Amino acid sequence: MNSIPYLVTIWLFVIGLYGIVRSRNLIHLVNCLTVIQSSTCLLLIMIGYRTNAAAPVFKNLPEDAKAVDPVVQALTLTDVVVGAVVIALLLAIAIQAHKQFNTLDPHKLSAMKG
Amino acid sequence: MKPAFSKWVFIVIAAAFCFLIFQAVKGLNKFGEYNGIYGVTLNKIAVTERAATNVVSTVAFDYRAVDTMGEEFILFASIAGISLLLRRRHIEEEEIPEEDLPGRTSPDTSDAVKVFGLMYPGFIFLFGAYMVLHAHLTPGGGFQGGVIIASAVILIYLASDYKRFSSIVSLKKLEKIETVGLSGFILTGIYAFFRGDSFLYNFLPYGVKGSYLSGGIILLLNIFVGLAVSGGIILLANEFLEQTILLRETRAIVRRGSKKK
Repeated sequence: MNSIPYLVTIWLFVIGLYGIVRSRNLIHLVNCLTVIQSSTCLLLIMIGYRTNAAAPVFKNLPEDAKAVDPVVQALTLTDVVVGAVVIALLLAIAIQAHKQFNTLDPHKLSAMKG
Repeated sequence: MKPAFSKWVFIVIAAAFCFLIFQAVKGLNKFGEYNGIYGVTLNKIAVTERAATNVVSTVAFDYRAVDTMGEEFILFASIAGISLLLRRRHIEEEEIPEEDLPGRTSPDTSDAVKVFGLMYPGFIFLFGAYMVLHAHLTPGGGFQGGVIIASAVILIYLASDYKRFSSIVSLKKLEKIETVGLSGFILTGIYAFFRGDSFLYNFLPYGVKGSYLSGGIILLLNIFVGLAVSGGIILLANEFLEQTILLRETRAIVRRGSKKK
């Protein structure tokens, strides 16, 4: 029972990877990358979890209350931001690829033009 | 490689990967029993040390504020890269977009979208500002709040059209807002040098726990990050919108001009 969260992370990672391998569209490929990124976010959040603990916000909590790990949560923030900008950059590259080759199929992109 | 073949290659490799990663994960702590020393220590001392109640913000904007600065630079570099990638080129104006072919008209924006696009930007902006300005007390932060503020502005585009959007939103001002956010963050860090402290040292008074003006520079840095992120995300969205809408319009103008000849 305890390993189910880890299984979910692995499942998200592998299914995202499968999507990337089998993708026939660059936009779809970028979406699959977001699935992989969400698996890393989930892993970070999950590692810091402690049973019956509150969020590390002590507004209405006593200062010695049991709270989940704040360091991994701050790391997840970095993960989300970097993930978002990487996806934006990849979508811009997809637009340029479409202009250059008139297709979004990664299998047809490799054809050299000269 | 044939698609069916690549599928089987992937399945074999993925099975091996799953087996290996599962072996690796087995050695980790059981779910819910994490006892990392940094997190426990920070939960104990952060509130008494800095008087800000949101420990995640304290980590991101005080103890590890240098990382957050790096994050902001990543955002800035990405926006710069996208504006470089999506710049206007000469050959583009010769193509004819499908929507502009004779006999094709795009449907008008639906009334429901217009009504909600008019109703919500104010509320969403308020919520985003709240997220930025209360980051040190309750869950929130400059990044999240900045993105929420940007989404309020993008709703204006959704409800009207790109022309009205670009007449309301001044790109020059957005660039200035982003610059103020980025340089404000760095100058706050550098200011600590003049007091003899290290970079991004929390030099403001910490205040009383739970009061609004607490946590020192956490609030200040959050405001700067909120400015930089909201400006940056709107610029980013504008870059993509310009690519799909404005360039096609110029193409259409070129086409109409050539027809008259």
